[in-house]
Amino acid sequence: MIEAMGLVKTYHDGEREIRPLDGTDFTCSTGEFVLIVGRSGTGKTTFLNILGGLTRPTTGTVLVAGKDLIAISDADCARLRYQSIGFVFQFPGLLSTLTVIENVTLSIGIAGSGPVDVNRARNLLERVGLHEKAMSLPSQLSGGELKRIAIARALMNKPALILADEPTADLDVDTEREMMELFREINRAGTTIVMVTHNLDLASYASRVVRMEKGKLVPV
Amino acid sequence: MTLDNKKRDRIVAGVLILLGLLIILTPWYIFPICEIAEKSGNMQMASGSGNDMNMNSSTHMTCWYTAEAETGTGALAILAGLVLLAWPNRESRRSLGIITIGLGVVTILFPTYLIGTCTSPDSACNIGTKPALIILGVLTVITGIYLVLARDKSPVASA
Amino acid sequence: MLGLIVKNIIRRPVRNGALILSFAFIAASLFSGSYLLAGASDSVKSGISRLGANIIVVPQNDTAESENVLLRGEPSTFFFDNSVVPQIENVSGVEEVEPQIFVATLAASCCSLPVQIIAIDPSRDFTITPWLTKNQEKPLGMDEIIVGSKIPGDVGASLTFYGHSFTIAGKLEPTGTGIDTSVFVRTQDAYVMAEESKEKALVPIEIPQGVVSAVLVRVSDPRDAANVSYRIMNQIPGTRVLTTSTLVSTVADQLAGTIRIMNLLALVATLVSLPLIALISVMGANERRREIGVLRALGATRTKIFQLIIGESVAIAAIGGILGIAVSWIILVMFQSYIAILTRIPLAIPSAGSFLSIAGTAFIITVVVGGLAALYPAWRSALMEPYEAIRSGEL
Repeated sequence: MIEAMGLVKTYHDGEREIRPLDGTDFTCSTGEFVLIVGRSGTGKTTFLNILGGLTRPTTGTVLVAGKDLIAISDADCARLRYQSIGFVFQFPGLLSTLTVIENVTLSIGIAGSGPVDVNRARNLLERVGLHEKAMSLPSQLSGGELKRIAIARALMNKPALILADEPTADLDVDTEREMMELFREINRAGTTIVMVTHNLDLASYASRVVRMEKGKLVPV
Repeated sequence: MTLDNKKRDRIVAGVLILLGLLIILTPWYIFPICEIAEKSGNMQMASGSGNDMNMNSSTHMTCWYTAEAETGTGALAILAGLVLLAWPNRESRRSLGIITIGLGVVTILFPTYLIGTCTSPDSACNIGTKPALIILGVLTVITGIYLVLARDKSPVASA
Repeated sequence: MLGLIVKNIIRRPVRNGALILSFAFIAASLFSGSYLLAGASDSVKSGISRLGANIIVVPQNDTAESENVLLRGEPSTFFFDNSVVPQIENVSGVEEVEPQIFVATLAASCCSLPVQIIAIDPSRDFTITPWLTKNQEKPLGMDEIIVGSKIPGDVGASLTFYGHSFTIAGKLEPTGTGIDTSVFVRTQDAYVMAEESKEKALVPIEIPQGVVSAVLVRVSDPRDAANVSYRIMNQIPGTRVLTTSTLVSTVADQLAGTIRIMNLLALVATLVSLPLIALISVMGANERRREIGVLRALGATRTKIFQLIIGESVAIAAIGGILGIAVSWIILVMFQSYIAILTRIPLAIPSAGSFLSIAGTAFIITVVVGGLAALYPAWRSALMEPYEAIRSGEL
């Protein structure tokens, strides 16, 4: 599913050069549930974003679902994200001018065509326990609730790959467990999951755990 | 910019008071009625119609009475605005809204049907005062409709 | 995506409200100036063409009065010798002439405004009588008059001037010119009225014999009108010629001062609004960087993002444009007479064709401004790398 080799990413902050990724290699088969742990600022988020085609590495190659993310056009990359990848960011990232259910179905409006499967959206909201808030605006909800809605949104298009960045960070222990159960469920149904987290206790849900250290991924 | 309910109500109250003030001032100063326009010599044009004008100086032309009536409506609008300012809440907003709509309608009706203006279409009251009052009346009605329909916003408002 | 644009606009009322008002302001100022100018020239053209004459010959010394009569409806009495009439007839290019006599009333029982009485000879008249026979099927009879639109009274009513009683045989449509406050009588009736006024009227009027106030001329070839005008003025001393174009330019000159002020206002409005609009657009785009990053993550292409931002700005500009044009149009129509008297120019409501082209132009310019204002922010946002957008939004 994923094949990344020799990824290097450098930023320039004034005079300094920052290098969050320094020759990272990573492979992942379809159906795996990979957990990436490590201290903050170690480049985990950058790595996840590269996997999703949201940013390009300075050097290196990355293939996702058979597509070379460096080589393909921006439009093809966008289509790949729409059809095959679901994102959960560290921040909820909901549009403040749309209701909850409009947010969940957003991708079809701006990237796809055809009718919107409202039932699926409602079911997903039920799965994350928020379906009675379907008509609320994001400003009326708590951080944890917004996070759960972001998870529902990521699942909307039945993606083959889910890239999740600290999806349970704002949640209390019980809700965290529910969400992880949800992830395990969809993983069992065939979805590949790559998840970044601080919380080593979640390792039991995953099929494999790796650690990001000094710009490289090492198995744990 | 976040507007909580009280602030918004106070702004609308201010608008209402302003409209009331304009309604009062329009027939006497801003777009004066015939008798006043002539005296100040502001506009070189015809005075009121022959039929309505009386040589007897103790009675007035039709537009005079409209002006006096509009002074009343304007004062009522100011009063409504002051009441809203003092008690900005849902109930007073709605009731004052309905009354404001009525005031606006009356503002329009006085110079058109209820009392009227001079018959000559070129007289000061017809070319200036009447349109101005009609516009002010419409604005008042719109303000009233807004007051009736406006909903209380939930705690965290969006701009 | 249209739905997204609509929701984005509706749910950010304060920011978008300010933008809509700015665009409304621009549209209103663009619209108003052209509208007034069109109204003025339309009214002059309709007034003159209504007369059916291409040229009006008036006494040289009384040019200002005659313009006042025609344009502003300020009645006047002036004459010159009617020997000019056959002289004008002989000028080459002249096909038909019609002499008219202008007499102003000081007051009349019908109307508190002075009225212009225009005495015509029905046998030679080619302007008013044809109109009458078209509408009434018989020519002007004794003591019958045709009145302009602002004279009170309908067909069949009776009016008294200088003590002499007349019956209204026909009423003309409004032109916004002095014709609206004019009364057309037969020349012989006018002389009878003048004679009787010595006894019957409060202030008698005297119309000397052998005079004329204006001569309406129809030329054989309308394109030759300017040449014929020169010939008349050269060959017959003491005359001055008014044509549609001279009257329109007189009006335009007077209007020029007002138009200059309005254009200045429009310019100021645009200059003030544009940086405001640009600022709000850029600020808005910056605030929404993270949102744009999320949209890209969901699968939106660069083109879609570009379309979204430009689409929003164009929609806001369109709403503002319609609002501005509608509101200024309503005000201009309701206060039409007031403006006409304040600026001392005739105003008619422009024809539907003029209105559509003026409104359309103002609208299109406003929408284009809306599109241009968003061009740079839209382009920047579309090109941004999604991860960059998301990160910079965090700051």
